[in-house]
Amino acid sequence: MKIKDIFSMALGNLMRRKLRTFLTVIGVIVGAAAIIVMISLGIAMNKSLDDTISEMGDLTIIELNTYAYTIDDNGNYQDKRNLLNDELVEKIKKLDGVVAVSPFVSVYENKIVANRTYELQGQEIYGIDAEAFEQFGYELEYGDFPKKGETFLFFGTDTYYRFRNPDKPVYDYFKEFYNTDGTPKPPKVDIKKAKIYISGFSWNDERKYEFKKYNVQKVGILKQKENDWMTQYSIFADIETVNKILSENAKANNNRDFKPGEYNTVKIKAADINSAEKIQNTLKEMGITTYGLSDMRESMQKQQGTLQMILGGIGAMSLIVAAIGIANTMVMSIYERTKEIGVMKVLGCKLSNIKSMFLIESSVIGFIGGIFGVALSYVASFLMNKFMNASSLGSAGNFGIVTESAVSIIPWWLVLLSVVFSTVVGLISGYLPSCRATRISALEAIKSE
Amino acid sequence: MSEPIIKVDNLRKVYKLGTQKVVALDNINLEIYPGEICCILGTSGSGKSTLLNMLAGLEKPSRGNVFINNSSISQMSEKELVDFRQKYLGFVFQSYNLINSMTALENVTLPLVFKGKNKNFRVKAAKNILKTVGLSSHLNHKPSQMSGGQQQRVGIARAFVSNPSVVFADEPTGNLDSKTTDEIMKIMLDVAQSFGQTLVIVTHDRDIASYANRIFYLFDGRICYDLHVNKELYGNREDLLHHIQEIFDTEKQKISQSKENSEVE
Repeated sequence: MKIKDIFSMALGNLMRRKLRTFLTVIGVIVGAAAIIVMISLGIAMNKSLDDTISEMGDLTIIELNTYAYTIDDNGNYQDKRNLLNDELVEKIKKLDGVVAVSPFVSVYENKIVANRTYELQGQEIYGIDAEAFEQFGYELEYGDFPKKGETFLFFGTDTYYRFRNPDKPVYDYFKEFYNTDGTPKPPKVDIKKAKIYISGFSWNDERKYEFKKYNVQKVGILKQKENDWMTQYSIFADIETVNKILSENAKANNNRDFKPGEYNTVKIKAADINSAEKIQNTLKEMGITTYGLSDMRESMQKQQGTLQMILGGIGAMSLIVAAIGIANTMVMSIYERTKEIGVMKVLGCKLSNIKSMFLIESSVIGFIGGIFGVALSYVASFLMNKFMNASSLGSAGNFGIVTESAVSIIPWWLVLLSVVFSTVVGLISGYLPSCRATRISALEAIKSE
Repeated sequence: MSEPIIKVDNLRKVYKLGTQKVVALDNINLEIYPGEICCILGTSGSGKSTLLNMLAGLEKPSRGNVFINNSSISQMSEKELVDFRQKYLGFVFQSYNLINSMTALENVTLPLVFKGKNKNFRVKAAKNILKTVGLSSHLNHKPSQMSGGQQQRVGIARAFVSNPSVVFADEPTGNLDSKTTDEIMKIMLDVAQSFGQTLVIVTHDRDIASYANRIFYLFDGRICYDLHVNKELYGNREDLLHHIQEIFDTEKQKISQSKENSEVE
């Protein structure tokens, strides 16, 4: 038999029993839609979780701290010290998937002087690798990205107008820098044009120490990132200069604990979330405790995983019911057509053709059910997104950050997968009945009146 | 004469009914030659339908062999049998067995569909044969819209459309009145003879048997008489029927006598 003829006979048979076919298809539609909607809820949950976490920071950034607290297998806190030095930084640089790595050092005891008159004191300056600056995702509102070896100074959006003349006493800091409505007053010095230097600084006036002045070659203003206080209140400088200031400060304060070349914090930027996980595992093998938002994401995902499994299970169950429906329809149809099948066998219809005919019938039921199931789930998804609140589902809302995200997301691969899947379910449901059809004895079939 | 198209060799069929064994057919030997119009005649329960089923490979014999075109169909698997039937055999049924959802034309094209012929060929061949059986005007009628005689004509067209070597007909006129029976038999004979096909008809009706040129009389699972009918010897059908009657009466007597004798002994 030609495939075309097998198809047209199979379709003809389905059309002959319109109502029954229709009811069976409805079963599949409901089953397919149930599974799609359940999966789409899970996808939306993960998405809103990721959104929430990425609002909290970048998932691809791993942070290493000297003082790390971990929880051991017994649930007890473990105090652990990581040795973070240049050697480790070099090692990490060579790992796969590392985009940038930089120690983060900070100094409070500093003085920034503009045009010899205006000063900014005690504002935290972070030292960062010049090359890593851009890779860590910082952007500049004004200025160019730094080059290695340059002395640079990038101001947070809330810092550069706080320069003031130290000879004039200030009684009210708020009035000094802000208007009554809370907006900042125009800066007293234009940092874009000013000559600026940084130096160490000691609160301890008894020890007079001659701090070296580091002339700033490149000045910039950071672009403030949402939910990132660092880009607002901090100042970034090149790590070399900050290190020098730190060691000068240590000398000035006679601080013997200071060890040059060792850092409290090292940050790593990974190419993507997966490589971030790999890097974290490698570091764990090296005996270094890490902290990254992906740790948090993992534990949250685990929690949601259980919920998703339950949802998926409900969907799967309705599809199983639909599959039984298909099998039932096929068996009924075979009973009804016993005689016809027998006659076809006597007339020389090959067993494989009879089998294909029934398999095609059941697959078509599955296929049509799948297609309309997708349509139904789109409608359901649309209604849910319109009338339900995302934060009411899953743990994403528990962190106080409510993101505008969908309750149900149906990606294109889910559409494709569910149509293929329901067709396959139809095929499988039709398999046993089709075997039964081929076993019908031609003789018995002819005899039955 | 040429090689026989159907050869039956020492065929025996035993049914088991519970613990009892019923011998339906025993010691059947026959040879049918191409182009012969054969009739297997017998009363109900004589085993004639069982014999037909076995000739057509619908049932397996308990012993013995059936050869069609020199291939032993008793040894074939179900799959091989389907292929074989598709190539060489045609069937006409008592209850027509048309597919109710299909039109006359579609029913007739069915064997060609199974053979994988393309649509143009199918429709052309089916229209031709339907014209031969006189149903050109009923191509698109469903079985429910046709009389018994018309349905059987569709059945005949379907059996002959793929040009099989042998056509089996099981009580083809069993559900028809005598006038229609006459028409149907004539059509069937015409078609078979014009294509030189072998026709095997099973019936209990002596009238039907008179159309054949070879008659096997089946009684109690055995062939008691194998009559080659030379139609020229008989002036008309009445004479032939009379002759058949005579033969069978004497045969019956012989058998019942031999039975009595065996009981006496």
